[in-house]
Amino acid sequence: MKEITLKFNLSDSEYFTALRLVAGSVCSIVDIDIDTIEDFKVCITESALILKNCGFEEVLVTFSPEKGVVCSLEGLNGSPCSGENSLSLALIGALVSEFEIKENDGVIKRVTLKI
Amino acid sequence: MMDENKALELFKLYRQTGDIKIRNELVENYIYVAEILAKKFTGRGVEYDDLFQVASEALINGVEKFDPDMGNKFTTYVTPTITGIIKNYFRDYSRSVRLPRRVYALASKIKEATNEYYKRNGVKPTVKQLSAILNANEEDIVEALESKAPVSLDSTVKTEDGENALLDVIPDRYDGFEKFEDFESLKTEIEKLDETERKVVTLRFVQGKSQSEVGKILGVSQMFVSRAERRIVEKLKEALS
Repeated sequence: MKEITLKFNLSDSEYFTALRLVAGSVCSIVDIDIDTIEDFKVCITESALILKNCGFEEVLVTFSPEKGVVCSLEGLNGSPCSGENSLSLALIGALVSEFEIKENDGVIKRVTLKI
Repeated sequence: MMDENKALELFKLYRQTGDIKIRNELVENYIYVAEILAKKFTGRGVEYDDLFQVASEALINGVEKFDPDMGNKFTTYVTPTITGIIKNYFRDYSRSVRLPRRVYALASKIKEATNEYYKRNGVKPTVKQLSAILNANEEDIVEALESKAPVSLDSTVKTEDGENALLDVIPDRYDGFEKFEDFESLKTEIEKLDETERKVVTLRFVQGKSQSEVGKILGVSQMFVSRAERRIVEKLKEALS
C-alpha cells in the first residue's frame, strides 16, 4: 500500500498549510475533482483542530491513496482531555461521506476520513 | 452567548409565538456559526462577505425551522444545512471562478510582484512577503508557485523541422471562419487560391491539423506550410479589406 505520513506539532499553526498542501497533492494523484479536494482539505484541517482541542501536542497524519483517499489523523503526546467539538464534527459530517472517530475515555484520539 | 438551556427555551417560545424578535435574538446568538463556516470556505474564489451573507441567510432559515423537541443541538442541526447552502452557492454562482484559473492568475501576479520586489530590494521575496504584497494567503501562494506557469504561444519548441513557435505546431481547433461576417466573400477568395494553398486552408483551418501534420500530408516541410499559411492569410486579408 502506498502511504505518505506527516507528523508535526499542533501548536505550530504554520504547518497546517503544509498539511493542506500535502492533502491536495495526494488527492490529485488519484484524480479527485477540485471541489472534493477542497472539502477534504477543510475536513483534514478540522480534524487536526479537534485533536489540538483535545489537548494533543502532536498529530500523525497518514494518507493512503487507494480507491480514493483515506486520511487518518492520530493525536500524540500532550495532555488529552475531552473538548467541545460538535461544530467541527458536524462540518466534517456534512463534507465527507465516510468518517470514523476513535475515542479513549470520551477523548477523541483518532479521526479517519475517506473520499 | 446565551447558555444552551436558555436557547432551548427561546426556540420553544419562538415555535409557539413566531415572534420575530425572538428569532432575531436566536440568530444573533448563533451568528458565530455562520462566521466560522463562511471562513472555512474562503480561498475558493468567492469573497468572504458573500459567503457570510449566504451562511447568514441559511442560519435564519435554520432558526425558523429548528424543532427543539427533536433532541438535536442547534449547531449540529444547522451546520450541515449552512454547509449545503454554501456548496450550492459555489455550484450555482461561482462556476466562472474555477480554481485553476485563480491559481494561474495568482501565478502571474506573483511573477510581477517578484520582479518588482527584486528591482527594489535586490533579493527575491519570501512566501510571507508575497502573501502580504498580494493580499493572498500563503497556501495559495505556495500552490500557485507549484502550478505550471502558462506557456507563451510565441515560445519555441523542437520539432523534426528544427525549432518552431508553439503557435505554429499546435492543431488549430478554433473555427476561424465564424469570425467573418461575409462568409461568401471569403469562400470566393479561397477559390481563387492555387490548389496547394486551398489544401493548406482545408487541412489547417477546417480539419485543424498542425503545420507538421499538414507538411507530412502534402510532402513538404513544416516551414513551407508556415510560409504558405502566412501568404494565404495576407492574400485573404488584402482581398477582404
